[in-house]
Parts: sequence; structure tokens; C-alpha cells
Amino acid sequence: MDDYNVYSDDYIIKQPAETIEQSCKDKIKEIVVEEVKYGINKPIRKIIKAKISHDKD
Amino acid sequence: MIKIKTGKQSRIQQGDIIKNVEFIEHIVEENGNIEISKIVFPLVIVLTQDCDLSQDYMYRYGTVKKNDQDKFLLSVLVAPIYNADHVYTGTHLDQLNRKMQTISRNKTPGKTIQRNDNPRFHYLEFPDKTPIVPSIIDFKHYFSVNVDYLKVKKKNDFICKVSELYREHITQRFSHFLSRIGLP
Repeated sequence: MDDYNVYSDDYIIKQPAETIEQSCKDKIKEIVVEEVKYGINKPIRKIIKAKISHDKD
Repeated sequence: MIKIKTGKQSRIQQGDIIKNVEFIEHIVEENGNIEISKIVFPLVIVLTQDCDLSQDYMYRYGTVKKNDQDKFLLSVLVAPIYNADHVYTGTHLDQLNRKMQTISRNKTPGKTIQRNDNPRFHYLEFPDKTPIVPSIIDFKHYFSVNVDYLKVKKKNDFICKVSELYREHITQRFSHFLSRIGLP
């Protein structure tokens, strides 16, 4: 008899548990955790230019 | 290796390490055209004495009410934290078109910095769990930042705080750097 994961009467996953586990594992392989490291970047200069608009009388 | 704290308080504290802090180089306005030049520092450390920061916070944002703003700070002193590897190769400001001195990491100049025997620099090695590379503070590049701006910045860009004693050590060395006298 197949092993089903039953969540509720309204929602039944009609897949063997082993298949679900494998598909989840496949998805997890795609996730890449990037380690955040501070101090890699160098200071940069930014120049902002803007025009002051004057209301016309 | 220094000790750090990761817990964040809303007020600015001595030793706070905050990312992407802006320094305004100049603002020019002419004939309705404004040009603002600013430098964005990836990491800075707060140098202002904690008691001054605490008082500013209490009187500016807290429940202590007074008829004057005597305890308000005008600005907060910070210094940039550079990647140590970049400092050794003199390339930490190359994005600003500034070539800096090269320092031999494994010879006397580099070792002097790592021992914190060079008055201009402060070497920082962070605990393994702290995601900051070995770094160097250049006291010569200190600057001031508006209090309100830095408080808002801290909300989203706080990294960690250098623990007590280690932060006082940094500020004490900064004071010594500022007050040095070069005799002929």
C-alpha cells in the first residue's frame, strides 16, 4: 500500500512520501546560501546633480 | 581579537559599527543647479564618548525635558574601517582616485600596525562568528556625521558594536593621535 501524506480531508497529496522527500531535496540543492561578509567593498564617491525649480509667478 | 556585541539599541553608542555611512564632501549651488559630492564608506565606527551620546539621546529623544538644548551634540565623530588587505596594498581608496602608501604586511611596518603601535591606525580582528574581515581604522580620516542622520542609519545598517574596554581603547588611541606633537 502506498504511503500518502494526509494533511486534511480536503487536501491529500497523492504521491508516495519518498517521492515528495526527493523532490524537496532536489529543490534544496538549488538554494545557494551566500555568506555575508562586510569589509569587502571600498569607499565610493557619488555625485548628485539637481536643478532647483522656481515657481513661476 | 576584539570582543563585539550584536544586540542593537536604538541610540547611537560608542563603538557602533554601521555600514554605508555618507560623508558630504561639498555642496555647490549656482544658478539654480545643485551639485552634491559625497563619499559612501562601507563601514565606520563611532568614536564619540558614550556618555555624551547617552545624554544627547536622553535630552533629544527621551523623557528628560529641559528648557535648553545644552546637552545636544551637533554631530557624531566616526572613522572609516578599511579592509586590512586593501590598506596593505595601498588600494583602499582607489575608487576615490587616491593612491595610498603600501605597507609590508609581514615586515616591521605591517607588524607595528597589527600590534597597534602605529598611532595613526587601529587594527581590528573580529571573532570568527562576526562577518567582518580583518580591518584597520585610519584615524587620520575621521569625520563628523549629523546625529539624526546616523540614528536613522543605525536602524537598518547597524552591524555590531565593539565591546566595552575594546571601544575605549580605540577612542583613547584616537585621542592620542589627535593630540600628538611632532618635535623638530
